[in-house]
Amino acid sequence: MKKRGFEMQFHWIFILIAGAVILAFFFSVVAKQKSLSEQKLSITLSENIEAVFSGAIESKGTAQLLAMPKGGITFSCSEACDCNFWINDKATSFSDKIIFAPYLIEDQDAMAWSTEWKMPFRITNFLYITNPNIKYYLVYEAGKSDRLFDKINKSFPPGLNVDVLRDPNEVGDVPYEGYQETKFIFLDVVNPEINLMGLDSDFKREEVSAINIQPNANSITFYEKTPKEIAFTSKSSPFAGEPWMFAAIFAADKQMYDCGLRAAFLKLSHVAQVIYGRAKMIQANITQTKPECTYLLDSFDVLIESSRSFANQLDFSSISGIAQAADDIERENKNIILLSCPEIY
Amino acid sequence: MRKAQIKMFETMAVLVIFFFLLVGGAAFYFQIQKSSIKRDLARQEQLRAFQVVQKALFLPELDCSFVSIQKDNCFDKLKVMNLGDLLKQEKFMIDYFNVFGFSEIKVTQLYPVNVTFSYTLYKNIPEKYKSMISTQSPILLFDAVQNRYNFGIVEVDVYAEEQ
Repeated sequence: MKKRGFEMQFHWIFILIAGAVILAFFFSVVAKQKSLSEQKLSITLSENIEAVFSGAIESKGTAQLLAMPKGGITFSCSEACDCNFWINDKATSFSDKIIFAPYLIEDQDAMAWSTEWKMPFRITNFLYITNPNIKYYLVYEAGKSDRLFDKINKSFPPGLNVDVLRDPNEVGDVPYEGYQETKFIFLDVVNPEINLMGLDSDFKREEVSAINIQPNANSITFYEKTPKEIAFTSKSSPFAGEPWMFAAIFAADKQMYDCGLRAAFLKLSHVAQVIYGRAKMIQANITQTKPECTYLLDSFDVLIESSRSFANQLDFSSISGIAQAADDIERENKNIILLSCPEIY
Repeated sequence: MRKAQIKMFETMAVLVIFFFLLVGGAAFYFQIQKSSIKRDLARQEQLRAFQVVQKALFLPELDCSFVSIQKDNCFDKLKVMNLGDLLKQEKFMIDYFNVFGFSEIKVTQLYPVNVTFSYTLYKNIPEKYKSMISTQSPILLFDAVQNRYNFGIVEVDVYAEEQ
């Protein structure tokens, strides 16, 4: 090869290498920018969604539609009750918000609905989130759980996919309709696992879950389906009043429900301490001007201590004690009102 | 100098100018990106501050309720004092950090002026912070002993911690 030809070839090799370096540089910049802007978008969306949740949780009693980001939102709680919602890879903590939502909400707009929880004074608001991709079946024995059914049916927000089965044996006749998830809500049904075992085989590979609300037993049982089988495992949690029925209905699983219970009862112990302190201050200030105003506040000790221990252990036995203490405080407050004294709460 | 060598120097000169322009362009682009990120961060801090104010105004621990009906934008003075005292305990402070984060919440009576009521409900200021957003909201202050309402403000300062 002549020297001139060798120089020409070297020149072209140099240009090729330089071109490859330039291209690689641009590709790496584009890839970095893409991942950066995706992260930025996730962070912005998470912040915005959190603000929307904060607003929704304060507007109690109203249902509102929330636009969902592409890819949806997932909600989950760890065993240590570290509850987060995820948008892409960005996790945002529930922080002080008590949210009950299915594991995944995507495609359609979500429905957010909040209610307040009183014991007997206002403790906190719960935010329930769901969407029409989830099919709910209210299952009860007509003539036995009618009151419970009316209570739930009346309060259910509009726009959800809800069907009613007045005989638990009808569960076996339910066809799979292609929903992302199907949830059966048994209202005080005896042995609902028997009905669940009779589910159509089309549900084998689908997302199915169930709960059984037993207010008289202060218990809610969660049924989780074994993957690719019509078989269910069950675990129970304490039931603490009407808002907790909806919490169990909309919660992704028992873990989310239990974490909500823990957070709410811890909040109850805090609010009760403030109200207790307030009542003692009123008592101290008005003994001379209104001697007829005597405040019986013993139930606060039970309420504060039991709710704090319940938040730690979730023991079924504490529930009746807490409910009794709350009833006693409510009764005492009514008596105080009749005497024209400042209210306890 | 040979012709091929001149050509090579030419190519290198083109490459040097090209990279020079590229670095200049990238610097300009990243500067714009930086200011856009700063704007976003400021917006998020405002959003967070607004959320803290909203939480403070709707706190069940402070609300004025009558036969279980809440009055909007109203704080019960005795509840403010009690919660303020409880929040001096570390255990409570940790629990409420979830709610208020790095902020300071002060409740002050404005009218009638003859009674002094100024309470710092919550105070958790980071050692180093890059910004602070202050918000004042008018509220009613209910005196349960006197069964009387006063006018006041709740001042919420939200701090953005320096990372």
